[in-house]
Amino acid sequence: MTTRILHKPEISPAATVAAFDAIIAEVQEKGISADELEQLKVKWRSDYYAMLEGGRGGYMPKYGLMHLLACFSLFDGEPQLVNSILDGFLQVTPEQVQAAAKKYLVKENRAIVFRAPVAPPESAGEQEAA
Amino acid sequence: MATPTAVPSNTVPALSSERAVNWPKRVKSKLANGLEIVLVESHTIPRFHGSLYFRSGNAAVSHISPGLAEMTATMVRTGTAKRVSRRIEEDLRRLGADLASSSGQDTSAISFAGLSEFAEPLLGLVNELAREASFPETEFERERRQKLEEVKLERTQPAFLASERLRKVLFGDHPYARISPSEEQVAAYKIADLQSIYRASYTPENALMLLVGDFDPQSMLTSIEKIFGNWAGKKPSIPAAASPANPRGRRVYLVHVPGAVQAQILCGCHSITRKHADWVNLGLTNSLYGGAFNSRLVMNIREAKGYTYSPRSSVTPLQQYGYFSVSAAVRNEVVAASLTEIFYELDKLRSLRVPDAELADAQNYLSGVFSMGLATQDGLLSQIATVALNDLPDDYLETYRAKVRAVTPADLQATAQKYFDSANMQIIVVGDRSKIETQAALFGDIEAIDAQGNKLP
Repeated sequence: MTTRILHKPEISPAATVAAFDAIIAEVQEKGISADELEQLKVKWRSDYYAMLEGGRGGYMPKYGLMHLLACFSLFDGEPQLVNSILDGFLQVTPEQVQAAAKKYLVKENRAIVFRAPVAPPESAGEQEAA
Repeated sequence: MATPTAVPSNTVPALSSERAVNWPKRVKSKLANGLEIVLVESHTIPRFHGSLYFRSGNAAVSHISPGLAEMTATMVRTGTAKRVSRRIEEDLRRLGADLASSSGQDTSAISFAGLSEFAEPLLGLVNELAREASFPETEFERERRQKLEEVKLERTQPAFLASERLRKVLFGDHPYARISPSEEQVAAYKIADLQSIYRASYTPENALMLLVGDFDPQSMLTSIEKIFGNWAGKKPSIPAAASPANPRGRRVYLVHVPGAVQAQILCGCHSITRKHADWVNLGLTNSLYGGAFNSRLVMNIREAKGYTYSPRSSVTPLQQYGYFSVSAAVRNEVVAASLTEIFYELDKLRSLRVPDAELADAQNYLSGVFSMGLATQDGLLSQIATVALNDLPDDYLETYRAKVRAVTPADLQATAQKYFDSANMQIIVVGDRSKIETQAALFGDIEAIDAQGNKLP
């Protein structure tokens, strides 16, 4: 799982990560509501169908479908999984979401990369003018 | 599993003949309030794509300020009388839908896609955005701040500076000359202006609803009538635009960016709109010149000479006028060499007939790309939108491939002579003046400008 966060300059990187952690902690402690999970499942199903048609724009329509057929053939020997893989995602329960968050979204198991602009050296203005 | 036994060949297999397209059924209708409707069946996935278009955009309001229709479209998505911004996002997720609002020179649009089973509630939200947008003050200030960042950033990008200058040079006092606002203009945007643009142009008489997807057209039509039927509003009145400039003779505009390590070249001249009878011929001629990867210009200055990575030519068909342009970002040392080849390839197409085999390749490419563009719901939507928004004939898509196939080498040469107006091409070069000026000066009188658009001595 990869998360990208672009934060405003007036917010510190540490405060940004703390806000991110607070959301994960909430899911670990309280889980998510059945209603929120239902919303996500609808979006997931819609995005899955969209992915089958899309992927590489007009120059390679239905790339998503080709890609999944290739993966399911290569790794599972079962290209027809493209028709049923969605069912498993739609059966996920709020308890399973909470359990997965507790098991996998742990600080011992992650790396954070901070990418920050380098402040220009103080003499940069003079160099440019020279 | 079968084991492949054939030995791979190192020659390209011959193309099989082009397959027929199963053209989707289209239903055209118009509500009593003037809303035009085009419904297209495409049952590939249980979703649908749609756009509610309005036939006016930035050009129609550029006398107030550039980019105002775009800012209006941005604001439309940020709140209605019934739903705040956050609620709109939650409802979209609940419907498995995506939605965006935008505006170009000639049109504004609310575009959306989602699951077919939730078509009615999604159209209900679109209806609310089109009729009851609330223009919240806090959202406006946020969007304005973001726009200010965008206009600051784009002014650092050579490709933007080149396009901005070419449009100014080709269009003069016509609204198409203004592609983006300045920081001062964004700072001066008024919410009341956005609201009056919204009231005047988001009307059923100005609108076209286009839906492509997995639905029954008759019941979809009933839903649209139910949701949009009691909407009312006239076409906006749009002030007459000045005629565009018509620059004669080659002239060079050098946009000076101190310290630039490469130069952005953009050459252009007036050409035609989509409605013009020569459109297909010009599309094919452009594809052969520089519109495709294996085109002459790309093979010459990218593959053979290595001056640039991504030379391209294109025909930009705006609603009232179109223009042809050639672009390449090149090393500073080869500005003159690149311009020489750009004009050489233009003039060669004007002077010499194209070999049959090369024309056949270009025809296969253009026709094949067109067919692929019809394979998905959003691909179909964009093709059918082109037909509907440009008032093209109903059989435009059905006859397109045959028209491409019918072009002869003589047609192509005549098209190049007519539209590759090399004697009157306007040349824009963006880069460090000290590195490129003497090279650029070989191609015409130079006018130098800075990135802000101020004339330089």
